[in-house]
Amino acid sequence: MIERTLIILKPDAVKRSLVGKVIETFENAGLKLMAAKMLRPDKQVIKNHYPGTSEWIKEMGEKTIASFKQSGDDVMKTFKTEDPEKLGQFIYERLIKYWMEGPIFVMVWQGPNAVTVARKLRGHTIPSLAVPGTLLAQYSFDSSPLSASLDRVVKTFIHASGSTDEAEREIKYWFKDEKFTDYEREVDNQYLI
Amino acid sequence: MQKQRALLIIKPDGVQRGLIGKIITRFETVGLKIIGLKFEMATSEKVIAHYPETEAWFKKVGERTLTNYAKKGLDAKIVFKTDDAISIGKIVKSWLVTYFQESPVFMAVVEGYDCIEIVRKLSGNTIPVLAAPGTVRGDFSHDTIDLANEQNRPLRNLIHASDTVEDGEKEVNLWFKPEELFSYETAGEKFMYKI
Repeated sequence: MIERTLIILKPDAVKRSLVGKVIETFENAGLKLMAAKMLRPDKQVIKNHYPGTSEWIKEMGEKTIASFKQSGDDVMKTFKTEDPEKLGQFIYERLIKYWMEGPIFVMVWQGPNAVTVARKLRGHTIPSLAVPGTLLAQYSFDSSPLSASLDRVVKTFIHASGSTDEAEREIKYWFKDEKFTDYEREVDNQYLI
Repeated sequence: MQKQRALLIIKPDGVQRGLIGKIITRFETVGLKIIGLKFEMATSEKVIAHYPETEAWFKKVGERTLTNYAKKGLDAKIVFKTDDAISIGKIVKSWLVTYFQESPVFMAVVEGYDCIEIVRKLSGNTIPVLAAPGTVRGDFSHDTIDLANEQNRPLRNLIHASDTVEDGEKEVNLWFKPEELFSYETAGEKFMYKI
């Protein structure tokens, strides 16, 4: 029941001074901060945050094609290819470039259903499709067509783990074998005993 | 004019009450730049090194405590088993170490022009009951010296903010390694300063 999830604020969120707002959102929901650090990782470290397998790359290409179709935009015209693998690889490179625009802030949050709760509060990955009240909707207007027209990826300024397995893999990746100290939050007594 | 750096530490009462985000937002909103962040359980060694370890400081803290007790007509000897100011100062410091380790603490290094003055202003009087509304301590706490003394604990005042430029540098270097600090341009700074 008690899960941990990895949250990363990407460079635009740090530059826009959204650290406090994002922390407050998760704190208010009752999640508990377990670890946090600011860092500026190099290209390889960012690259390996993602699975990076050929299926994953292909899937990313397919998702982009689907999102373009949905908004009635032309994939071929924008990317000069419709091959999901090539497209995925291209997006992957751009994604890494985005992550390198400045320092990032990596956190571990814990709580009942932490993965789902954090994803819900973050909202849809593409800010223009995120519903009001979610962080991505509240703090961004970015969309697939806009980002494509500016030759960059959609700036999805918060990463939140997609599943408990992914969370554990990512926490291990960013924090190695660091031990986190548990402590009591004011909400614990109301809901966890 | 030179930029200054200050260390902010959100202490266990702030962390446990879920106030990290609300407090950090205030320093971001005013235009200070966060150049380092971490969340960790402070070791005793670090907390001891964080506060002065001089006779003069122990004496100052001890004398302040004795004065407060005397004003209330309380006998400090009952609590501290001594009325020697330096010994009392040392006991108070040990309380501070315990307080700091009640949970992990959230640490932020902030940078900006007149940074020290700004972090002090936003943090407010170190005694929460005396801190003005609009300050972190004034808005999120009402702890008093009397209450703290009665309960044999240090003031729970939510946040530490560097007191002087020298303290700021000393504290930043104590808690952060150079590679844990970052230089970047915030989205808003070109509209605040001419850069």
